[in-house]
Amino acid sequence: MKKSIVIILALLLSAFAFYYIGKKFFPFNKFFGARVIPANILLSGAYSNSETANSLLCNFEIDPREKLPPGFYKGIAHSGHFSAKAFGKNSYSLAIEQTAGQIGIDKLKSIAMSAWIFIFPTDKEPDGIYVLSVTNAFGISKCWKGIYVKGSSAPHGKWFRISGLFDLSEIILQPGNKIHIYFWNRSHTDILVDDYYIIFGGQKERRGESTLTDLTKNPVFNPRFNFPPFPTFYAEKEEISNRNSADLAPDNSVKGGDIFPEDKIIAGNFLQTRYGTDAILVIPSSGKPELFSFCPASTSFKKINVILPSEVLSFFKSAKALKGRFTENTYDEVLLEGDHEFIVGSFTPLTILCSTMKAASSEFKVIWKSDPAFMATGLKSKGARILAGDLFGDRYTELLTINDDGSWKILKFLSGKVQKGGWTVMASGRRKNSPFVNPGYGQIKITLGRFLPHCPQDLILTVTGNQTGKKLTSSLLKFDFAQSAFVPPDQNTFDGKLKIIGLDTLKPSDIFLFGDFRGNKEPQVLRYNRDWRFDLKELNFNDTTFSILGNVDFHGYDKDHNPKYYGVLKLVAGRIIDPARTSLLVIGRNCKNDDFATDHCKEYQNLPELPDFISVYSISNRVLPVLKM
Amino acid sequence: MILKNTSIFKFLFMSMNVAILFTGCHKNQPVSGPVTNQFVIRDFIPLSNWHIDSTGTLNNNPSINKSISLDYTNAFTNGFVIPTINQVAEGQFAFEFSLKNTGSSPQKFCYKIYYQNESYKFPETDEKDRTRQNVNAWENFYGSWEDTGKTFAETPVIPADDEFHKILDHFGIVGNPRNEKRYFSEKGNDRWKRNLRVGKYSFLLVITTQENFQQKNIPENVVNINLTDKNRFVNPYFYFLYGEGKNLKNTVIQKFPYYLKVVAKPDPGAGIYINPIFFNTATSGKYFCKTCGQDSLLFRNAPFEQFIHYIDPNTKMNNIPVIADVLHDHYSKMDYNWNSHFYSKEELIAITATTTKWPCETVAVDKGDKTISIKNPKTEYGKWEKQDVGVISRHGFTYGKWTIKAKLTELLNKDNMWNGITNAIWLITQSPAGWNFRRDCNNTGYMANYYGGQRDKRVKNIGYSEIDFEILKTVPYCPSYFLPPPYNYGTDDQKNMKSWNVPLPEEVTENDDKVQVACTNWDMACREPENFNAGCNAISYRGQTFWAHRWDNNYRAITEKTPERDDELFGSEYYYFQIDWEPREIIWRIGPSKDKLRIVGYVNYAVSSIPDNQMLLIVSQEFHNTKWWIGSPYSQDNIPFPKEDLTGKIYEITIE
Repeated sequence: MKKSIVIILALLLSAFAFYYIGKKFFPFNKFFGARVIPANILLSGAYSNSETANSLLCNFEIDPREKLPPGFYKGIAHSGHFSAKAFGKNSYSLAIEQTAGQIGIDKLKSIAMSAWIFIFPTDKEPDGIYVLSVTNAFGISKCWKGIYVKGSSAPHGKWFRISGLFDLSEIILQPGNKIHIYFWNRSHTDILVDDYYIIFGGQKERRGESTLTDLTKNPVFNPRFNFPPFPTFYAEKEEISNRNSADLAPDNSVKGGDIFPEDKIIAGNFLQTRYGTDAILVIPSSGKPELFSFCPASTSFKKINVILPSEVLSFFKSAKALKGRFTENTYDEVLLEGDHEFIVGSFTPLTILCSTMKAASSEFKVIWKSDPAFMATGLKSKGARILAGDLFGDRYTELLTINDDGSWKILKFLSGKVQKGGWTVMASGRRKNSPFVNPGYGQIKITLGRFLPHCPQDLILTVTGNQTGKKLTSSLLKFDFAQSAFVPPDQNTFDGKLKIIGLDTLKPSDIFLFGDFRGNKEPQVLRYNRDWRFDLKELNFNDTTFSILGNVDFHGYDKDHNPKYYGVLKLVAGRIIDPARTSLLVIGRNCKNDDFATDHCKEYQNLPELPDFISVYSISNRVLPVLKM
Repeated sequence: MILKNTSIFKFLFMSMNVAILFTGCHKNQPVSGPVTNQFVIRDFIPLSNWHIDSTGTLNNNPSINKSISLDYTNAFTNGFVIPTINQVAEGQFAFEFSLKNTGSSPQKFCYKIYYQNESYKFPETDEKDRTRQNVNAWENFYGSWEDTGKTFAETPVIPADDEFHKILDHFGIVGNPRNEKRYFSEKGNDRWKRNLRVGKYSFLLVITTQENFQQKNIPENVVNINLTDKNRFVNPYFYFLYGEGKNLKNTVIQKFPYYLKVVAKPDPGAGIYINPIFFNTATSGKYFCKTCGQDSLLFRNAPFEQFIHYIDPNTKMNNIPVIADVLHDHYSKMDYNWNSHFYSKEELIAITATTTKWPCETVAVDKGDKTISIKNPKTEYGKWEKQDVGVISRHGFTYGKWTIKAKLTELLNKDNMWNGITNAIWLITQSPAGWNFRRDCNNTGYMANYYGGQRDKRVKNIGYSEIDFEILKTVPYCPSYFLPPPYNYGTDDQKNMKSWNVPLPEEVTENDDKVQVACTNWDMACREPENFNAGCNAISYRGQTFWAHRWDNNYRAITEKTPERDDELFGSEYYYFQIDWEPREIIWRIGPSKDKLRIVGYVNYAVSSIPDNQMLLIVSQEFHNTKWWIGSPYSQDNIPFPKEDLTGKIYEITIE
């Protein structure tokens, strides 16, 4: 008798143990019994990644001409015409099925999900769960979570949304693990579901390592030289009367002020207007140049017809254009590099451009054109770079040509009193000891500009990195006429390599903008980078390093159309509005696809949230904070 | 004092009796009293030297509802007194009644006056057994003469002359009317620790024979309200109106049918005191002035202090390094989204909310228009700060209808972007000390500490209590199947605006111009209420259903939320906010005027332990860490530092 009792007890215990262990490792109460959405019969776009890469939508829309497949319901839908049904106790809706590998394990730290629910009017209380389940290759549950819809508070006879957020960070996922999302109806009600929306990954952690400024430990902020956070200076939008459009001169009698980021755009004193401001020379891919000049009285730009000699068009079309005061003229000229020739030319002046309503024209006149003999001197090998700048500090513009092997030449235009004048090689260097060779065989970016306020000549900034874009170094050099070589600005104290202090290294992708942005007759430097985000900073170079003065942001734009939000943003510096201050011509566009470079793309799209624009901004006057090194 | 009545008075009395007979209980007639074998009472007038009617107008009719405002002079140290010498020359109310000895010989009679706050009381009788005192009725605010040792007073010898004789006496309403030791300190009876309650007071006159009194036919703890029975006080209103006292022979119990309404109106123009616990004049007094500081006049009479928030170090956040005027600078959701994605950790600034270093800099009194202004100060580069600001009242009350007329800072801009501020109008315990303990929690007890976490011990008594209006941009928590909304935070791909500028879910944007008015009762997770529950639970009140939410059974607060338009609450000239704290329920109301208030929150004793201790009022503008507010569409650390002051103005406070 006792033995049989013991046996019965043991059997009972075993049964309980089996039940609980089985439930734990094979939760049959959470068995996946739903039918997977047959993605192949859904209409295009009905089951897709939404506009952001981290989400998934399913609206159950199918071809209405086809026979209604199992699990679908026609006629009541939150969107479109079809939804998924879960009718009756222990029924399942159609399920999303994806593997962790398909979604990306890095995006599965958390899942937010929502769906729209319709409960058919009934006296019965609904009891359902919008389920997220993860199973391994054997179908054993690794995770089972749900959003519960139950009780009398749930609306009947109308669509309502349910949503939830599930943390999966503690679940070790394998690429083959299956993720199912479906609705499980546990009541005798009839329920429809529609518009599954799944967001993978949750909030992405910010870039970087850690916060540097902790005011909870020390409430007094002690700025560290070149370490963020930096102050922000604002570039204020100038009134140019273009109604925030992409047309620089929408009311002009000469139509066509749309300027694209990939156009060659140069601001310079080409027209010698009486206001002394820079005109904007735009060379579109068609090669037909356009000129614009700002008229202060009407606070608008005027477009100027450019008259081109027929033989010059090809230069504009294929050319690289450089601005400078190459000859003895006191205004800016243009050097155009054709396939096999060079020309230097200028535009005829328009001193009374703004006071007349008439359409204005300016003719491009060639000052100098290369001949075969000149080209034979080997001025430039194929692929060589040409930079223009005041290398000698004489207020005229020289050319620096750099060949692929690092050899270089400096040419100066010498005006002949008898002959028409021409370019003369003033200095040259070979590969050996050339500052233009990247020892890392990676990228090298060479910028010529007024980096040092106290130095009257333009300097060369080289930024090099290895093939992976790392190990970045930069050098600041000036041309020394006596040594006929590029040397550090202060040879006694400095080897030319800039010390990098702080987190912000110079990169080959940096674009430098030069000018008197503050209007204080001092040259300033802006560095523009879009590697990760819009990043415009004002830098102050000295002989050995540079300091970051602050970030530059925009202010005064229409609505919330901050230029920095545009996928493509072109900045051109020039004395566009005020002869005493450098402003920024800013062109914003968005690309249809993500595969584009910083300043242009194959196809643009004009987004209502961020419409195309062209504007001019000027940095407001401000007091700079004193940052100690 | 005894006055012999004239025959004319007799005639009037007879006429009045007739009038009562034919008109029922005509309000404008003095009440004539019942008759015993020994005496007849009439003309009980409890406030014969106070003639302000319920509208605040002078009216000499004795048989009307009356009102009085609390005199704040020196009330901080002494507690409130009704009336003060500023209101009535004697500093006491006079009461009178007329008595006719119908016995056979001259005799003295004994009488006692009681008062009780009727607005905020528990019913005197047990709901199920009306012969028993309600278990909480001893908490009611009742009293008698200030000296509880003065039990029953004796009349002079009243001749059996078939005439009415007028008895005159005095009494006042004071704090700690039972002179309970709980509210004493080494300095004596701190009556302010149990301040008199606002609202309507009734008056009860009990007259009996000397014999009754001498033979102790009335229990000692009724005669002397200071005495307890098994540590419980006997409410004399219960005893005389419902208990054994109602059957006492030769005893007249007369409840005056009119009431005195007591209103507290702390004057915002009367100054702000700076508590030396936080600051001293020598090091922090550079903004001190006549209306804000630490001088003795302000100490005695200022109805408010600058409130210094406790800053929990665990609320540290890494804020974007952006300074902007969110309300006026076109700061948009797109700005928010960009800033949420495109600052690196190194650029962020670790902060907690702060409090002022310079008292009186961010709070100010305008004596002219009798207002207080508070401001979260603007910040600048290098001095990033999200500074909380507020004022706290200095005179505690238990219960009351707390109505605040204020124009606090707007919270949303034209793009309905939030500036990160939570406007709060809240009541907080005056002290966690034993004298201010809440009623026992007899089930599992209260969570012992406000900041104690889930594993905090449970205790029978605590002093912490809080009732809040917190108004901010967040989401409702109920029903639970849409918490949190499906936020898509996007990615930091600058090339595709849609990747980082993901719209908020439609259930959030459909309330885009609204802020949530969160109404919270911190019941410290006392599980005694019969319907105490976690999760979302519906509670109905006057045709409205509110969703009360509690995260779990150890969560210390229950919250209800109602979405309201920011422009209406904070964009208009002012708005009214009312916390109606009653013994068995709390009702939160808001509205454009005091007569157009609507209910936005309701809890009662069945779902949440209603505090019964003394509390103070705080009006504040705070930067909350949004981790407190699960599911909020905006995260505080992604909201800029203020570029301009965010100013709020308090116009009027009434507690009644």
